[in-house]
Amino acid sequence: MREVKTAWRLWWEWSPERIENWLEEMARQGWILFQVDVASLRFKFMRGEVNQIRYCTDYQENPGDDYFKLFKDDGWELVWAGAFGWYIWRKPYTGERPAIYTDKATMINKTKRSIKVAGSILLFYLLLFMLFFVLGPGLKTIEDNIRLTVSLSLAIIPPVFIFVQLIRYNRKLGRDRIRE
Amino acid sequence: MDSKRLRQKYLPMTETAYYILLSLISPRHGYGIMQHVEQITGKRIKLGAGTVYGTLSKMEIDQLIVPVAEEERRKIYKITGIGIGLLKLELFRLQELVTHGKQKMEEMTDAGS
Repeated sequence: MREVKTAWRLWWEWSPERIENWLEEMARQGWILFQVDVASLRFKFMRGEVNQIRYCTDYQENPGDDYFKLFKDDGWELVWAGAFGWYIWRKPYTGERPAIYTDKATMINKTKRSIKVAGSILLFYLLLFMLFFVLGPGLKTIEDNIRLTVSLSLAIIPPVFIFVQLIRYNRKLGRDRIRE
Repeated sequence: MDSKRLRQKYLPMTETAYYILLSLISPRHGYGIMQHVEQITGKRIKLGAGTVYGTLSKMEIDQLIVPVAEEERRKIYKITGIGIGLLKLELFRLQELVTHGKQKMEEMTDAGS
């Protein structure tokens, strides 16, 4: 019977090395990733040979066939193609550690696309928010009004957080770019 | 995009953009570019697949390069007139850097001897 291990991880676009290094460390201990699910939070590993494997996360909206072909030509194996354009690639290596991004300009461009998506989601939330205040709560009791206001205020925290973090990350990439 | 905005966007060029454009003077697919650049720079520059894919997509939109064929799901690109124009401007800039650098280095050596 094959040995399987499950782990949960919350990961963000602005710190790719954290999830990538963790997956690499798992491979070093002989745990090979074979499935990612539950909103990309649950990782399932199979017991395999101890190996040095580089994992890379990528975000692409509607990539063409040539995207997959190029990565495969370069020796990358697609481990996971998630919803919303997220991909996890891996490649066993010895010597120099490979990477899918070797420049800052492309990474900045990629993050800019995510910022647009996050920005649209945020805008949608803000519109809902405004709609609620303009139209008036229309609820009978003050308690109900307070409850709704609080939930709406809490709901807006995640999109604001993601939007702000992505912008901070791209600024950081921009500062590093001078060394390119 | 007009040529002024293209110049602002691409110049000065990153090594990545420079070598990708240079490689596309002959038609090549993405992986062909990676191999070519690694070879001509004596393995100094190894371009990542994501970097090549992202740069090619951007350059195709800006019409610096154009797909000319497809071979087993690999898109083959070639540089356009716009791309060559930008490459020439960059080469001119690099030549200026080298000329000034050499001058100053020679002055330094002359003063030292």
